[in-house]
Amino acid sequence: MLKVEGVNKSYRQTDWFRKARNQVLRDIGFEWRQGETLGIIGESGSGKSTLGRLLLGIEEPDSGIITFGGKPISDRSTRRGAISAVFQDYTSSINPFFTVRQAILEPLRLAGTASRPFDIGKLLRQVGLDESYLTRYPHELSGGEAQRVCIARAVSAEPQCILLDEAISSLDGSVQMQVLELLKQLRTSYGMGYIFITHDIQAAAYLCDRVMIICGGEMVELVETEELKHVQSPYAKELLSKVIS
Amino acid sequence: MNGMHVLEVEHLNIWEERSGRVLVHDSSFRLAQGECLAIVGESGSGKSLTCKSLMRLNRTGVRQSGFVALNGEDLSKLSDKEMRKFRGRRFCMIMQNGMSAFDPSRPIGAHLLETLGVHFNWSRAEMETRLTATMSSVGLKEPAVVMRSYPHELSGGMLQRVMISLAIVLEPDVIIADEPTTALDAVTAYEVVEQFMRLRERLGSAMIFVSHDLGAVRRIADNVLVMKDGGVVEHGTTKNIFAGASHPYTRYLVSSKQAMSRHFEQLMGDADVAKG
Repeated sequence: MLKVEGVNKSYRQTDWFRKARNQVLRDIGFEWRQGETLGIIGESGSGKSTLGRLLLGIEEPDSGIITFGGKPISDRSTRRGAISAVFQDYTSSINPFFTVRQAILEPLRLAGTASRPFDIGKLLRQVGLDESYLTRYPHELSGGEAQRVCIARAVSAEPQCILLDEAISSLDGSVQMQVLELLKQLRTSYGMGYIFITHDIQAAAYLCDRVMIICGGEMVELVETEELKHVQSPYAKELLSKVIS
Repeated sequence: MNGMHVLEVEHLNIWEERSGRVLVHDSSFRLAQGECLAIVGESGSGKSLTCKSLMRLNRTGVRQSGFVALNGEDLSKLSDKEMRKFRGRRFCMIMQNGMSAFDPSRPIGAHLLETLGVHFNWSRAEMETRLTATMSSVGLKEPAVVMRSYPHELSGGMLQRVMISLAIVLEPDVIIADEPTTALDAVTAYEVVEQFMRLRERLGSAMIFVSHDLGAVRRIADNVLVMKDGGVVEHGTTKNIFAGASHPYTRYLVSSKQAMSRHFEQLMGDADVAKG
């Protein structure tokens, strides 16, 4: 469905005397199948968030092709209603001058479907909030609540895929678990899939069908979650042995 | 006064001066020599406030009352100037965010030397030798390069190690670590927790470890204090808290963590996983 082929990405590094390019991603290729949950795991600086931005079409790769359903992802019309995102920093993800209602309706307004009848209350109840939140502003929400609003906003356009970039990493342990459960439940009710970018292997193993491990911009491993214990590469083995359970 | 306890906190209340809103309500605990006490709870439960008020570092507008004693000495009776000598030398705080804990306009080395200069009468060369030695012991490979770097040039994990190495040189009576692993990725967090365990073995000083990461807490702490909405909900040994907590809130915290780790352990089978 979402197909990535031979993707490279580098950023220019300007030093005083020389110009160098910092290669962030090297020859990445994989496919996200419709309805599946794919985890992308890596340490900080491994290039996983850059990959996320490329998948969303926010940035373009230096070389390689990313397509969604056969059409290039860099095209706005391909992305619309197909893929949406939830980011780590929930405090900066919602316009501070918007109420929860405005924030959730924003993607619908942009897609031109806002005039259609839409049960916003039902959506809020699905993410564990209720109608009383509609008139609140982002600063009146706790971290978990704000992240739920972000998820509701991502779900509102009913996309086929939601990309979650460290979406639970800055939440408390117990709230993390609630959000993971919420994601699982939304998946069954909407039949959508996720791309779950995280450094938390346990959370990825809990939610994902397949897991991809990247290190230094290169894909090290792509396995079914059940096969996680049979990983071959030394890096993946080391990563798994350093989990504090 | 009981000589066994390094730190005694009794009936600590913290409130906002303007609105009178109570932030931490009647919390009491004690810390024995060499003990590691973890304070856990969700954000907003008053964990960080408690730590800051032990060092009297709360921002203006936040008031505190209660008895805080270090080695039997009542800290609330000290003047601000006397308190400043206590911070660092006797009480050492390791912050969550390394980026904001160091002076961004100066190299790390300048900051460290200044701190040591306040507390000890060592020569510059002596301070540098000690710092270099401890830095390499916590896994910073090129101490000289680190000392010349500015905070923004180092990663979160490295800054955390710099703070740990400073704590080793200062040899404080009590170390307060406020969410030291929260801003780090899983692998770096694992390594930093390892460093904390070694730090305890080396100094034998008492430690307060604030975290919402129950995995790390289980690995490092002897006792656990659970906070919720500014109050102490439960206080017990780590083993008891994780095996059978009496308060429903603690059980809820522990069970949500265990659901995830149990799933992971099942997946991994008997493969090599670090146990808490």
